[in-house]
Amino acid sequence: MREKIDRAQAIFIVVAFEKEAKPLIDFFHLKRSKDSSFFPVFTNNEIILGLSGLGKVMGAACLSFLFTRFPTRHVAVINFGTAGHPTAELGMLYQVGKVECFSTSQVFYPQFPFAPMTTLSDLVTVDTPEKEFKKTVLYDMEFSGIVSVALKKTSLELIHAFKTVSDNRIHPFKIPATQSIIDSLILPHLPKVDTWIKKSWNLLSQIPTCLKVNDFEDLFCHIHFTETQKYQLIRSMQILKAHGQESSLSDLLANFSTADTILNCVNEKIKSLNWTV
Amino acid sequence: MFDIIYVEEAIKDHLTVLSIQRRFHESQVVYCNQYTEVFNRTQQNFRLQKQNPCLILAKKEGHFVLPIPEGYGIGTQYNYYFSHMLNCLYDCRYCFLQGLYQSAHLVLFVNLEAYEKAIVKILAQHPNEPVTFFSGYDCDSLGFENVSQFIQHFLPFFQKHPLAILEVRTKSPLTRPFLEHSVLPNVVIAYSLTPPKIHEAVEHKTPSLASRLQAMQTLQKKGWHIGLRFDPIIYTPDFESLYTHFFEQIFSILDPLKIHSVSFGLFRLPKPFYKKLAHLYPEDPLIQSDFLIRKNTVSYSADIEKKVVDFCMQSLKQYIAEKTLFPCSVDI
Repeated sequence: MREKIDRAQAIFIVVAFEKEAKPLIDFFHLKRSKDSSFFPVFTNNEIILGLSGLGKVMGAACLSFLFTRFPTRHVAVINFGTAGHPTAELGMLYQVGKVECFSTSQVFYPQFPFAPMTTLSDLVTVDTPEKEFKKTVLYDMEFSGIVSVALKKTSLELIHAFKTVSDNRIHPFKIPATQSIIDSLILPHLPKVDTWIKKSWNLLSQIPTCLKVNDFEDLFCHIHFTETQKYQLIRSMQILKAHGQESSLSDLLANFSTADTILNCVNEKIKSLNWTV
Repeated sequence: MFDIIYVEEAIKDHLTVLSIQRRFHESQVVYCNQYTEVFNRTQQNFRLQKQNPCLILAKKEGHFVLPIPEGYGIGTQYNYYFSHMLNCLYDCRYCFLQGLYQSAHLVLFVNLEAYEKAIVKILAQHPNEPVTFFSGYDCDSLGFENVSQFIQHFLPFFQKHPLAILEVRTKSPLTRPFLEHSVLPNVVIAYSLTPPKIHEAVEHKTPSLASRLQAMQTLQKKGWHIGLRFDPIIYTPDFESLYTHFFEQIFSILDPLKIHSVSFGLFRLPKPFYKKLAHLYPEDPLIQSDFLIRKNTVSYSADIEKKVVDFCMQSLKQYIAEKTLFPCSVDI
């Protein structure tokens, strides 16, 4: 069964904890979605934020849930949250240039189609809270799991993480952190995240969309096309579209009653094109 | 110039790496174990990356010099290519690199001495025979010279090996590395050229035709061998008048008798590469042309190819000796 697409593009944000999410929810005026059956979801339609809970499996599951419940053609994924670092000052913001899953050693490199908003750092996703900080990198518990799932739906240019340092060797993490502490770590950075989201949104709108079978569903419901004929029609319509000569589906439906006559008509149009670049 | 430079851990202290990092001191550096962790992994989008390509500094391991595909020679019996770089600064819509790689980043291999050893080995396999080495197959040989210093490095090497012919394939108007060196008879600086109308439409971020012609003229006058590469030719209904004027323009500036070689061929891509380009550029009129598939290659019809090749052959023969003309075709 073909996926039904509800929206052309959206920014999916995965955040582990409610306290980390609250500043974003307020900043972006997100409302709790009715569709929060497995994970709490907050949205303003352009941004869809899911609260995953702790760990890479939860991060991956939350993003899968968002993809399923909010079917979208082009998506950017952002993991936002706090992380540990051996030496960085509390409240420092980083973007992740390299993420390694501690348990599987899988490595991913988010790609930057525009300049990073802040300093890059490597990040290791661990299974239990990090206390030793052996490497001079960020430590979190979600991002590698989120990347693994995000890659099923989008490309590495559109998968990113913003991490603000919540603990280091001098200031180990204290549970429970209060909302005001978390706010103080996150709030100063939201304008940068906002800029990143706007740029990502703009990038998503530049991704061209090839014509697909879905685009001709109405036509194929009314007139029988073999699979080969479907492919031929889509290919021909793509050529016409690129040359600014797209036939509307309603025209085709109104004037022709068989796949052969439609294909003939489209092919005639292609032959009459002026092949200039 | 680069927001991010990826560096293989193993070469982080290599002199070239350090010098490039000093030059781009504002770039952020991300270390990787192997460049293939970053470059050409699945789920990357060439088109998005091309908006802001990064530089990857790496060490090439093996396969330094390879035989060229059939039908691309320029007169010698033995022909090889080597790539000190993968990808290109320019953004030509027809370029096969978009179909070859998932990534638009520039990979620069810094262990140039390993290529030299491989070339020496190849030369030993063909004693007393001229062997051509093409350097612009996976990149523009000269376009990144200010950073790579590839030409500056290799001219003295080829000077020591007169039977080794180096083809530098480029769209760059840079002349300095050649002007600073004595003329070498075994180096061919080959310029890829398209008529201005086509250049404006499909050769994005490339230097102007005028600047290339000026560079060619300067180098030819100094005594360097110049090659002309009209490949790919983009077919348009007015291609005959387009190319007639184009050839007139070129040969009014260059001395045709001193041209080393001219190759030409119609736009063509291996089918899998074309499929990728069609997906990347569904709205592009060139990519979305009514091409046919012949011999697993996507190109214009055989009729159009014959028309174009015959026309170019006849036109170029007015200026250039036939033995220096090298047509490239789907059928070769």
